[in-house]
Amino acid sequence: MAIVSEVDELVKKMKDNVKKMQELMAKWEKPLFDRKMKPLAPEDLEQTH
Amino acid sequence: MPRLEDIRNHGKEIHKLMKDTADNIKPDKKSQTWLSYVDYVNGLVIEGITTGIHASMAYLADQISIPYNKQNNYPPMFDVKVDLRDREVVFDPSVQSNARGTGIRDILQKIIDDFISLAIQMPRLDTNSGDYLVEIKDQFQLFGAMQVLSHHFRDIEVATAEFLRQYQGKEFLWKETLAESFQAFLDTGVDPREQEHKKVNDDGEEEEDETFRWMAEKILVGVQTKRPGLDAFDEKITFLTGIREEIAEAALKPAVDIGWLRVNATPLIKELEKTAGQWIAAYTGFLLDNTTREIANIEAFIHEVGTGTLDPPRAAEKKADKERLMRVMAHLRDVKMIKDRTLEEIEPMKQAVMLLKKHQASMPKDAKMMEEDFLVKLENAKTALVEVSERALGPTKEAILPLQTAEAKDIKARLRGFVVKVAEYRQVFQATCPYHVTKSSPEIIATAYATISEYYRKTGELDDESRELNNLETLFDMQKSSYKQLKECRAELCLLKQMWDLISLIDFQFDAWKSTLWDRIDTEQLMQLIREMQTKQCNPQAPQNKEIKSWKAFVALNERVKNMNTILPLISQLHSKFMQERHWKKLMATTQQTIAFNSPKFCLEDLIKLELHKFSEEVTELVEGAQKEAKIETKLNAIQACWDSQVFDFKEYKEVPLLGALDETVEFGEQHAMELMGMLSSKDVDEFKDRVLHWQRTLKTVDSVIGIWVKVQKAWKRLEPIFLASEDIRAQLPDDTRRFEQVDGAFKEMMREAREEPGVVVACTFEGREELLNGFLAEIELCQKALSEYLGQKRKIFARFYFVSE
Repeated sequence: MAIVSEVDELVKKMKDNVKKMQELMAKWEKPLFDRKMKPLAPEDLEQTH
Repeated sequence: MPRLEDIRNHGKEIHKLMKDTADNIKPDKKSQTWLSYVDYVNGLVIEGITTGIHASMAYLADQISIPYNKQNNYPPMFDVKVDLRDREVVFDPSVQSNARGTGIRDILQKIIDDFISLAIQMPRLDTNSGDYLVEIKDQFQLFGAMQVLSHHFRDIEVATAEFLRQYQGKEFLWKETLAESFQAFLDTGVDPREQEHKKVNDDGEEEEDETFRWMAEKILVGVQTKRPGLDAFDEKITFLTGIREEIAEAALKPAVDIGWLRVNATPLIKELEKTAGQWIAAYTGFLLDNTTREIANIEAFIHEVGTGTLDPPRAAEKKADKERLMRVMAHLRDVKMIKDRTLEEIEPMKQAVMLLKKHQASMPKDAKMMEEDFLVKLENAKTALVEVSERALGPTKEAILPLQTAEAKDIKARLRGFVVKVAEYRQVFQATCPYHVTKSSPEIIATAYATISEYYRKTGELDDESRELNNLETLFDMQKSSYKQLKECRAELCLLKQMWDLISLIDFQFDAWKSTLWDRIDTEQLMQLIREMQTKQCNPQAPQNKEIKSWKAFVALNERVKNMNTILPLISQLHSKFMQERHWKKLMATTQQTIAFNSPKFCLEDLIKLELHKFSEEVTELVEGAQKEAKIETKLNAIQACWDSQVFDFKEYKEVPLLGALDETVEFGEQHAMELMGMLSSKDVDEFKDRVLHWQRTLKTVDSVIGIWVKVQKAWKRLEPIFLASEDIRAQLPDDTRRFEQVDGAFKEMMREAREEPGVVVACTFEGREELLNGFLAEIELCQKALSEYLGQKRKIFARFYFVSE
């Protein structure tokens, strides 16, 4: 029984870690480019995004 | 970029979490199970990165979608300018990518590259090093996103190109140079100064209308007269004004939004407005300047005539008074000449001013000020000109009339003198000028030109004088004399020059030919040139030769060309290969000239000296004779060659060489005798007559000798066995046997001798042979006769002998 619960712990840990990874990666879905609500000179854009 | 920094940290955390899992499980890191697990988690990371990149791309795609921006009422994303560069309207920066990488397309590409760099922010989970770029590049999902981005970008390309199209009709403003275009515009006009102005004078002849010349000297000084009409100016200025208004309208709203781009056209519009203004100024300024100048000229003229005619002289005895009288009269002439035309000018000038007024909104301010002023000035000028003219042609003219009448007398006397002078000059001119010089040489040509130049100068002097007198005639209101004879001199000088140009051209050409060496003369080519001369330059029927065709110099030139045309074919004939030294000598005898036909310097000139055109038939006969002689010579040589090789064929008979078959020899003899007869009948045999006669004699001898020889040989062959082998005959005809024995011995000796030299001609003409053979024949005939008599007796006795032949 001890082994079973130990394994269960381990599996939980693994699943947890994977879940945490997926949570981190979900943040990447926020676009890397940020549209400003006013016109920019094209040369100014490069530095800002 | 801060966001990437975050992502890197996320990556580190993911690695930590993976390590945490491993620490807890403590797996055999090489076991298939663990590796599969790592691969599974690695796959999750790839998915995460792909989703991340795709999300950014999809977002960006929305930002550059024209409808999306419109729906959300977003302000534009970028500011761009429209400007002129290298005579092109362009966006700054460009919409497409450019060499410097600053185009909108370039910038978007950089942003997309940043998105993709998500794949290199963390080391790989499976290998702990390297990145995820390889996997990412194969993601179909990302291809799709790229497609959408490209599609949206194409839309903005199309929209910006459409925007530029509004400048199409204005391209000339930056593509053409104003100065060149304006000049081209002026050039479409017709300049009245370049045209001939004619009028019919009192004699019914057409002559120059001098009005325009006087206008040009007084009213049109400094005025550009080559220009299109006012309508063309109006049309052009209206067009340009329209263009400038369009531009000005655009200037009210210099920034335009195209999709997600804000386009600022201020730099371009400013430039174009300035340029359009310059174009308008060029057209209006021209009219303004031209009109200003013409008005000033008219005013100056009015002033000049007004002051000049105010105080006419009362007497004309003194030189100064006389000069004053002339000046006043010159003013009167000017007024008379150009008053009407000048008044006619006023109306178009007014129209020009009205045209400027119509377009005054487009003109500089200081120009506007002048227009009203102009109209007033023009009205004043009109009145003043009429006034001044009336005074000049009225009271002033009346005041000087007595002086004028007195002066006119003197002038009439001068005019009469000049008429006589011109008539005399014309006579000398006709007697001296080289119309009828028939000879030609470089010296004669030079003299002709000198004479023409001299008379050109003299005619010019008389022309000047005639103009001065015409001027006086105009001043004094007399009918203008036209001096037809001077005009004729002038016209004939041109024709003379033209004719002598032709003479020198052709004679120098002939001279150049003359040095051509005999071997090099290409008569075909020269004849071609001659034919051209005859049909073109020298052709009396050609229009340019209409006047000069009866002048003897021209006729003589044509004669020379014609002679050359006769000589050249003769020279071509003389090039015959049959021409021998004796023929050249004969030619010299015929022409009674000496030429060095053997000299290496023998050239065309030598032949021209022979004046072959006088001996056309003789030359043809000579060359034909040479050809026939050559034929005779060839035949003679053939006959000689044939007989040189003809030999007797000897056949041994009872140890005696006898003549063999002679058919061929006889045949040749007959054939050649015929040929020789033919030659003798030709008139070209002279040169070879001796040889022909010699051969005729030789062949005759050969023929007769062979005839005797064959007879002798036949008789000998028949009698030899009778006389030499028959004891009976020897006993019965002892004398004849002896006779035969003698013949037999001599004959055998002769035959052996003949075999030594078997040539037919040699053998037959051997000295004494014919006589010898004749002797043999006589002796043998005697033997034969004796034998016949003997046999006759025998026949009487023995009748059966009748059947024995001799």
